[in-house]
This record gives sequence, structure tokens and C-alpha cells, in this order.
Amino acid sequence: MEKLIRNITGLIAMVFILMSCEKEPVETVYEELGNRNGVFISCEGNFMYGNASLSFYDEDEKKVFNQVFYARNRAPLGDVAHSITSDGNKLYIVLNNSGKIVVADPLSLEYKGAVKGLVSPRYIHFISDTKAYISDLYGGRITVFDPSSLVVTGHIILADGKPLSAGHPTETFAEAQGKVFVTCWAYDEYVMIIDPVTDTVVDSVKVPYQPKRIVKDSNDKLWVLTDGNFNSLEGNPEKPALVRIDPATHTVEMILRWDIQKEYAGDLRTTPAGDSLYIMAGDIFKIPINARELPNEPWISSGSRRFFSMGVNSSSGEVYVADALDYMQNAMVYRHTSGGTVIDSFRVGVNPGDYYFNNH
Amino acid sequence: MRLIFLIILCFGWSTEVLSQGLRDTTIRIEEVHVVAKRLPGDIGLSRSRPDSMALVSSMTVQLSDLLAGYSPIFIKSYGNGSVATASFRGTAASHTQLIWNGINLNSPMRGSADLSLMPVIFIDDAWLLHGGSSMTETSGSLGGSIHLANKPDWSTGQNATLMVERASFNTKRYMAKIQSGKGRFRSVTRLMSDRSDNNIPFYNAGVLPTRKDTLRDADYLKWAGLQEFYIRMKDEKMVAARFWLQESDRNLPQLMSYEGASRNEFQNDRQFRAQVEYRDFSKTRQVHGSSGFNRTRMHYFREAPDIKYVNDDAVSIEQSWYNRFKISMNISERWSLSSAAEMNYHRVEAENRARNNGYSHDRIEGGITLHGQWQATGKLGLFLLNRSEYYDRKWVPLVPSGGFELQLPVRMPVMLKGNISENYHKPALNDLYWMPGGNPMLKPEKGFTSDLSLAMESNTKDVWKQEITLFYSLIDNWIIWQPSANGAWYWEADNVKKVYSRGIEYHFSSRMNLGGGILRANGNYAYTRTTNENAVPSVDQSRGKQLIYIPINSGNLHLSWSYKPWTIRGETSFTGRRYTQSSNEYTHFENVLNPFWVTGCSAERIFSFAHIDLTTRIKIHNLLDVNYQQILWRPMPGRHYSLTLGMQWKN
Repeated sequence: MEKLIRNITGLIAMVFILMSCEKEPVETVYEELGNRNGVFISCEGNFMYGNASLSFYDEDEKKVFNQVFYARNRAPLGDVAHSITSDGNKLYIVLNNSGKIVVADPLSLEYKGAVKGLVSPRYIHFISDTKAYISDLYGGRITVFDPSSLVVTGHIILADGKPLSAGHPTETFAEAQGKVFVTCWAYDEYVMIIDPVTDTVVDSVKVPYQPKRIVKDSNDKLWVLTDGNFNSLEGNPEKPALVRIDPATHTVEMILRWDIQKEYAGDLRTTPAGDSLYIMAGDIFKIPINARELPNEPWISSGSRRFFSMGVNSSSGEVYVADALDYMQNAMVYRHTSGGTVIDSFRVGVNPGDYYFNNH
Repeated sequence: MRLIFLIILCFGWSTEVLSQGLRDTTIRIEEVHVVAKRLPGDIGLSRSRPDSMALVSSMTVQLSDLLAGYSPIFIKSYGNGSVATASFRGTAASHTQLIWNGINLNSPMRGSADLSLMPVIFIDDAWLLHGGSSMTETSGSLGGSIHLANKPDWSTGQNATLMVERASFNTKRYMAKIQSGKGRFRSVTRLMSDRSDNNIPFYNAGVLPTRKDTLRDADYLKWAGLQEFYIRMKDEKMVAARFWLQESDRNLPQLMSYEGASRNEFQNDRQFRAQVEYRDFSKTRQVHGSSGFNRTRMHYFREAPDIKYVNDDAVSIEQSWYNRFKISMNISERWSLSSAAEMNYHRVEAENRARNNGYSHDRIEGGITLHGQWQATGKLGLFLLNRSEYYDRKWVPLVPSGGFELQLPVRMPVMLKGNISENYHKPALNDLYWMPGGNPMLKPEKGFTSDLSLAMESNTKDVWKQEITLFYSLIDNWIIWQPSANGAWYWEADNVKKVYSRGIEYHFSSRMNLGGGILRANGNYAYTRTTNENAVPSVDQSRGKQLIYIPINSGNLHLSWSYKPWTIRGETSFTGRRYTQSSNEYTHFENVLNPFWVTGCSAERIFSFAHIDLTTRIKIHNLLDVNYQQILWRPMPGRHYSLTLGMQWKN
């Protein structure tokens, strides 16, 4: 009996002793952001981990605040924070695999509500104070909602005529000539054109395979980055491309094929003036909008880093580039001047995916 | 105080229930006391087995529940009835091999085995080979291997066990084991059905506003049948044939934070296994030959029904043919030698009809094992082993292992054991060929593993034994799936990490007379440090950090007291903190899975008649209603109950 008691006591004591050796948590303190000048960074987290987070970087004080949404609301954002934007009054964080958009106050981060019931939301484009579009990876439709009430008011169906398809998968938006252009990325090759007054599809432009990001330049032309079905499942890879579209005539004016096989053409942004483009494809490349060919040398070399996303401050022209490291830990973000010089680096959440610059 | 009250309530209530109406519907489940016996080939090996009573008292659950409660293995479960995989000594799920009567049940496609699809009633014996000790039976077990065996009861011709269990969340389980035959022939039929609405109430802290919630779309239905035939020939020779058919339909719930459009997501698994086996148990020569077939069809489906869009409609069919022949010979009193040869063939066809992609591939693998043992003195034994492996046209001639066993010169039986092994694990077919992300250039994971154990056993009338083991392993080319290094949208497999795993395992079991009854106690504790050692960039904070989802501390403890027809049990298990970021980031708001204790208790009464025993058992699971998560944002059940009625008939 004594041996039994000794064994049990020993086992329990061992567990408790070793438990007590475990380190204590570092407390994250909520701090109201107020009118700080800086950038919100939505961090995707890991798919099916539900560990998306929101960070804020104060550009003036060079100070970073992580987990700001959780700190304020004591609840997580959800699973895969795909993008972030604001209409000036509210902050909208798109939770792709939670099927919702979480809305928060940009100053206090207080939860203000959510747009729920979505299939696979990706990006938001604001039409007016009472109308905004939500693109959807699988939905085959654009969801229309009222930002003032967060009520879904309708859908724009984007039928593609394919069997077993819900319709065109929609991705990023750009507005030009009074029309909204939206890329259709996954296994698609169209840019759809929508009348934002009637919420109807008015036309489409066929582009190279898998158009992902669309931006507008200073000449009011649209640029689309297509990823070209990198490592095609069908074994017929198409090179990525940079495509220029005339929004007035809905025609493709130029296609620059990207002769890279090892890197993925992941993101496209413009300088604040709209006279140059930044392309993330392993490294960061910069190309003037009047160039006739793609650059060979990177503007920012990734080296051993794994560039995951980039953002450009439309006010200062500073370029933020995220290194995801091993994708399973808090990532590094490097802040560059418009000339490409690193001026700061800081750590945010896991897999930072999008940026919203809160310039005052 | 709350604990005491609940324990009293538990036993008090169960006593009352039993006394009122269940006396006529219970069975006696006969205690099986396994006496530890040196097996040929056991010198220097680290082998453990769940207490035989554990097998008996866990007959209505799955192997994952048995191992979580009675072994040092950490079980990673996605929820009640959901996929559950094993982590042995801090390694990945694919590093634990599941062996059923010599057949490897790990998926050749994924590398791992789903332990939630292994009914305990289909098992007559189970044991674990820790670390490099597993090389005596199989390869690729960087953590260890789990062995399951079936054997008929030759002491009786006909017997039958029937069990019915009703549990919370509208869970209904039916189990049957029927043996028939006479003379040298036995037939054993086992049937299992397990279904549950699984509508677990939980507190949802993953949405705003936080609220009480109920898990939806987590219902499941599992059924299985196993038919065995045995013929015992003269000179202790036996031929067996087994046929196992199983199906599982599981709805897959969403994460707590999901508030999107309705999703229809399910997984259907269907397995058919067949095996013929030959055994010769002669005193000087043991022969074991088996040939088996395993076919697994898995269907994963996900759609958004509102828009009739199918995201995934993936069907995979795995077919494996296993062949193994082993002969062990006692050459002299001091020398024994065993040799085993294996040749297996796998074919995998995987297709996602919604995405129009997939792959089909096959693999031939084989191996030869030579295992020599030398009892150098009465107290010192040594072994040396080598495996030569062949797979995918690659030949690995030398995978050596060696060890010793020393009886220490003290009064009680104390044994010092140790072994060191080179070990390796070949990539699974998904790692190599999955589209997209499979990497045909993957190298096998390889490394060294070693352990040193001190085992003690009483030589008094009270039975108690305990064993403490220090283990160490260093594994290079650790394969993980991570987002594509080139930034593409998919994940890909790569040899990323060098993993250093070390720790302590402790096990004890006791049995003694107390108050006119028998008191049994057993427990396990594991301290496991498993760290990544080759993070390269200076800003990468994962170097030297615990791998995600591996608890540093874990343990379990069981107490039971049997008095006449009554048995009362108490059990608790502890799982330490688990990190979900490779850098082990740990703030109040970040994604750490907190440590938890899960405690349960049960009361059981046996009513014995001439040829029939009736048993009734009532159990409270998660007695303290602990709110915990095994996987991030996957709720686990709080306090819940089960009532089991059983009948055992023996001619």
C-alpha cells in the first residue's frame, strides 16, 4: 500500500513540478490607437487554425501593436484574414475561411458587427456610403452590402456557363471610367466589368490565365497581373503576365509575358503617383508604366527571405514587404523608403497578407 | 469540495440506478491478468502494454480513447468521433506505425493511421514498442509502433459477449463478439456499431458576442465487422484467416469562428482487410508467416449548398498487399536468431473530381531483418539487429540497431535496458506525388534514436512494477507541408527540419488486496522536448523551440477498486500546454492551447449466473466539466455520461 501511495504521489508531484516550470504568458495590453498615423496589417494566420490577427504599426513612433483586435474584444478574428480596408469610418477585415467580414472601429478597435453568411469572401470595394461589393472565390457572385447597416442587399451573378460551376470566381477590384473591373482568378481568364449603378455585368475582357491583382495607373489604364497557372495541374504551365487594359474600350492593349518558372507572380501595386508598378514575384520588381518589357533585376531582392505580401503607402510611397519566415510564426515586415532603403523592420502576426494605411 | 461532491454523486447515483433496475441485464467481464513474460526477441527492448483491465473496460470505445487514457502516447483528436492520430515521443503522426497481426495499417498515401477507426472490441491484445525497439517488427517508426493482435479463446468452445451503450449527445453503441467452434477449430465474429448526433454544447469564445453554442454537423455513424477463423494443428501450429469490413460516415463541423454560408462537408471511409496467417510455436523454432490485403476508400466532400458549388469531391483508393515471413530460432541456451522478410505492394489512386486533379501511383517495398540475441551471462543479454530496406527502386542496406539488458545485483528484480538505433522513414505517396505540392525529390527522414530504461518489479504478494525510460532521438530531413516557398497558393512537402527529441517516460502499475477487495493503480507520465534545430535566418525564432501541438508534459492515472461484484474506477489525464506557432509565441491572446486535466469515474456491477454474467456500468466523463481544446477552435465535450449494459455467455 505504501508503495502504491508513493508511486501515485510521485507521479502527481512530478507532473505538478514540471508544470510549474512552464513559462508564464506575456500579457498583451490593450491600447487605444486613437489618431495614430500608421498602417493596419491583417495577418492571415494559418488555414484551419483560426489564428488570424490584426496588427498596427505607428509610422511616426515606429511602434508596433499586435493582436489589437483580440486585446480590445477578447475574441479572435477568425480563420484566414485575407484582406483589410476601410471606408473612413469603419475597418473591415475579410475572414475568408470564416465566411464573414468583421467590422471594427478604427480608433478603438471595438467590434461593430459583421457581414455574415458569405461563401469565401476575398476583397471589398466601396461604391458609396451605402453600397459596397464583396468578391468571392467560390461564390460565383459578388455580394452587395450596405456598409452603414452591414446588411446584404443583393448579389451580382457572374455565370460562366461551365458545368458544376457556381460562376466566375472574383478577386480584386479597380474602378475606372465609372465602371468596376474585377479579376476572376482561380481557374479563370476573365476580367468582368460591372455597372455600379445598376449592379449588372456590362462586359468582360479575356486575359491570360488566372488574373489576380488589378490596379489603375496615372493614365487611367488598368494593369492586371496574371499568375499563369503556376505549376499547372494539367502539366501545361502558362507563363505569368502583366496585362494592360483600356477601360474605355475594354480591350487588352499590351501583354508582357514573365519569363520566370521558379517564382510565383503574387502581387501588384502602384506607386502613389501611379507612374510605376511594383510586382512581387519572389523578389520585388519595379517597372515604369511606359516600359515595353519587364525588368530582369529586382528592385528589392528577397535573399533568404520568403516574401509573402507587400503594401504601398499611397501618401509617402513607402513600401512594406512581409517575410513569412516558416509560415508558422510571427512574421517580419520590412519598411522601405520609396527609394527601396530599409528604414525599419518589425514583427507582426502570422502570415501578414494585406495592408491598410491610415493616413491622417 | 466540488470534486468530492461530484464523486459522491457519481457513485451514489450509479448505485441507486443499479439497484433499481439493471440487475437482470448485466454481465461479468472476466478479468484478464497478463503476466509479464520474456518474449523471444525482447532483450533490450522497450515494450509496454495497456493494463489488461483497460482493454476490458474500454471495449465500447476506439483505440484512440484507449491510448489517450492508458499510454504515454499523445493523441491529437479533432473532436468526439473525429479523426485522431498519435504522436509518440514527440514525433509526427506518420512516425507511429499501427500494426494489426503483422499488417501495417498506416495509410500508404498519408503515412498516418486514424486511430478513431479502430474499435477496441476488435482487439484481444495491444502493446507498444517504443522508439528504436519498433525496428524488430517494422520500419519507419521514428516514435514507436502500436501492435494489435487477435487470438481465439482455446479454453472454451462457444462464448459470446454483447454490449449496449447509451451515452450523451444521443450516442448509441452496440458491440458483439461471438466465438464458436470445437476441437481444433474456432470462429470469432465481432460486430460494432457506433452512432452519435454529437451535438456537443460548448461555450463559443470564437465569435462575437461570445455565447453558449451547440456543435452542429458533427454527427457520425461507424460500423464494422470482423470475422476470424482459426485452425490449430498438432505441434502448436496454427492457421488463421481474418476478414474485416468497416465503414464510417462523419460530418465535419466548422471551426468555432465560422459564420459563413452553410457548408456541407463530410468524410466517408470504407475499409476491407483480409489476412491469412500461419504460426508455429515450437520450443526451439517459431515461425510466423502472413499475407494480407488492405483496401481503403476515402471520400472527402465539401460544398456550399446555397450556391450548389462543390469545392472538393475527392476520392482516394488505397490498395495494399502485405507479405511477411519471420523465423526465430533458439540456437542454444544463450543464442537466438530471428530473420524476417517482407514484401509489400501499394497502389494509390486519388482524384478530386471537383478540381479535376489527382494522381495514381504504386510502390513496392521490402525489407530483410536479421536479429541476433546473446544471453552473455545469467544477468546480461545483448542484441544486434539490422534491417535492409527497399522501396521505390532505392536500396538501404544498413539500418542497424543494438542494445543490452542487465539484471542489476539488488534484492528485487531490477533491469537496466538500453538500445541505440539508426532509423528512417520514407516519404508517404502524398508527400511525393500529391497534386499540387507533392515533391518527388523528397529525401527520407532519418536519424538516430536511443533509450535507456530502468524497470523494477516486486517479488512480494502485492504486484507492482514500474519503469522509467530516458529517450533521445535526432531526426534529419523532417518532412512538413508548408505554404509553397515560391509564394504559390498551394502547400508543398519539403525536408525542412532537423528535429531533436528527448525526454522521460515513466510507467507504473500496482495491484494489491485492500479492504477485502483488489485495488489496482496504474499511471503514465511523459516529458517530451521536441525541438527544431535548423532554423536558418537570424530572425527565425523557431530554433530550439518545441514543435507545435506536442505537449511537453502529459500523463494519466487510473485507480480501481474491485469488491465482490462491484468495481469503482477513477481516472484522470493531463495534457500540458501546446504551442501552435513554431516560435512558441505565448501571450494571453495568442494561440496557445492551455493545459487541461480530464477526469472521469465509473461504477460497475456484475451479476453472475450459471453460464451468464451480466454487467452494468455507469460512467461520468469529464467529471469536472473542463472546457478544453485538443485542436485550435475545435470544441471538446464537457461533462457527459454513458451507461453500458453487457452480457457474457460462456458454454
